[in-house]
Amino acid sequence: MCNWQTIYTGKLWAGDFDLVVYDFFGTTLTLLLFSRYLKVELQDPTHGVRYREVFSALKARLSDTAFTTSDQHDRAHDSASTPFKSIVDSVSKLGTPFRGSDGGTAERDRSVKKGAKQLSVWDVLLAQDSFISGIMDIQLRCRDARGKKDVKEAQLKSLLSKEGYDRKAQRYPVPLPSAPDLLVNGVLPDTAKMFKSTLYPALIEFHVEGTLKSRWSTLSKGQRPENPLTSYKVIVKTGDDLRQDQLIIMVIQLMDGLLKRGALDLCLTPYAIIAMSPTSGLVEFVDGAIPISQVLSKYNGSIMQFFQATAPQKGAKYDVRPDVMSTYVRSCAGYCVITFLLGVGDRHLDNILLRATGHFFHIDFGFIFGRDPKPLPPAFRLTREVSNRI
Amino acid sequence: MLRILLCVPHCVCRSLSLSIKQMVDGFGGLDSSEYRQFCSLACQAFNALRKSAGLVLNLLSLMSDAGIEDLSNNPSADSDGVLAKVEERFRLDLTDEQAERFFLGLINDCLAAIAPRVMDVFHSFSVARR
Repeated sequence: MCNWQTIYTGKLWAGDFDLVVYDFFGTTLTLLLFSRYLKVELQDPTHGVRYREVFSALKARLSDTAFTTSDQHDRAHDSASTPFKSIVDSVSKLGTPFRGSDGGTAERDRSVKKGAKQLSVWDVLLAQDSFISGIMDIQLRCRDARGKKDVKEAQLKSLLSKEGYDRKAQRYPVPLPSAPDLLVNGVLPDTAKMFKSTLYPALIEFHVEGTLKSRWSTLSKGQRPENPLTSYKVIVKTGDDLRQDQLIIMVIQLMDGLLKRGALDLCLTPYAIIAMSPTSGLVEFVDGAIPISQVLSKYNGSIMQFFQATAPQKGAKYDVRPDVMSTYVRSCAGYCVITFLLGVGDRHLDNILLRATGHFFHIDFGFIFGRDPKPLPPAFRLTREVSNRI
Repeated sequence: MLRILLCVPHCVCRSLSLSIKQMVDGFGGLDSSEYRQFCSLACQAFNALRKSAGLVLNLLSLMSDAGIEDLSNNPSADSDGVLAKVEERFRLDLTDEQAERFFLGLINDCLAAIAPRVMDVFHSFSVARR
């Protein structure tokens, strides 16, 4: 976070550059954003010149750095060094002016060049930028198209396949901005969906070409899928500022870490979210999560009946699998405390979600720090729900 | 009168930001061991986070001029005021035992006093509308 601070306050100059890039690769790997923000800063009349230096330095060094993926078989057995680790290494080594004098680096470069199609990090960034921006542009065009939700959805599907975002285009796999450890090379147009809301966010399923090893170490046991991921669902949203949601998710991640350090695993769900610009972003779609409102209407207004239907076990307490129950209790307690501390408002039954695994979590942090929309609407939601049940 | 009745539960329930009634139903009611486990976990988590309140507040204050809508342009206060309110919620003036009692009180406020009354009000309200 302090790197962002340096960038934003203009305290950055070319000398700091190595440090920033090093940290940046090491932590979030969202280089696309970095270059995007730099592009914005270039427009600044007073500081623009300085950023131009930083930007060209970034471009030069990234063009020199080879992009390696886990697909390369000669590295496949080497599980300890993930591809991005090697980028970090090479970038930090690039800080020394004469690379040739360092025998280790030269050897590394040769081994990297063995790959059939070797792109530099910069090329991958450009590919990622055009890929993701193109999808966002399509979502925006479909959102503004005339017609009902179904018309927009059909247009979204046809545009995605027509403009070459499906797998047939044979793109080079690029890291997905919201989950940079996943390499994606196309979308599945048939499963694209649009949500019925004022901004019509689109649900896009990406085909995952490769996965980086680091992914498994960050996930807890329950979340780890048994089969390797082949697709990953993302909600593409334009017209909304996601920075606030991103901040809250980061705080939840921080608190989750603090609690885990205190030996409290509260089974929180800090889903991946990234704001690509002040008005657009990507949000992870958590598979199998149902809003509490739907759970209540489907299962006679009782969460217990939902669990009895989705995770039954004869003989256990309440006939519910004990691990599911324990996850539910833990995540309820965790989110109860966190939403209280952060003063998350606008809590109605549609933005509290539940999974069959017992994970209970909040989404949509549009109102935080004690702010809340009008006092009456949530009350009326309850009315409707109660009357439905009667 | 109705308006007041409707507003009151909302204000209190907002402090926990959840519809606690349905949640507790999922635990199997107020007498269940799950509910007691929930209370104890929530208090443990509250105390664990209180110990690191400084870190959380510091990181939030770093974001105060980043243009986050509810932090910088909150209608009720400026960013310092908003962060002061967050700090208040951590109740750093209390000891661990006091904080535990405070949080249990919050849960009970949400549940015992308010939730049944809300349900009753709405129940009668929707019945009366028929």
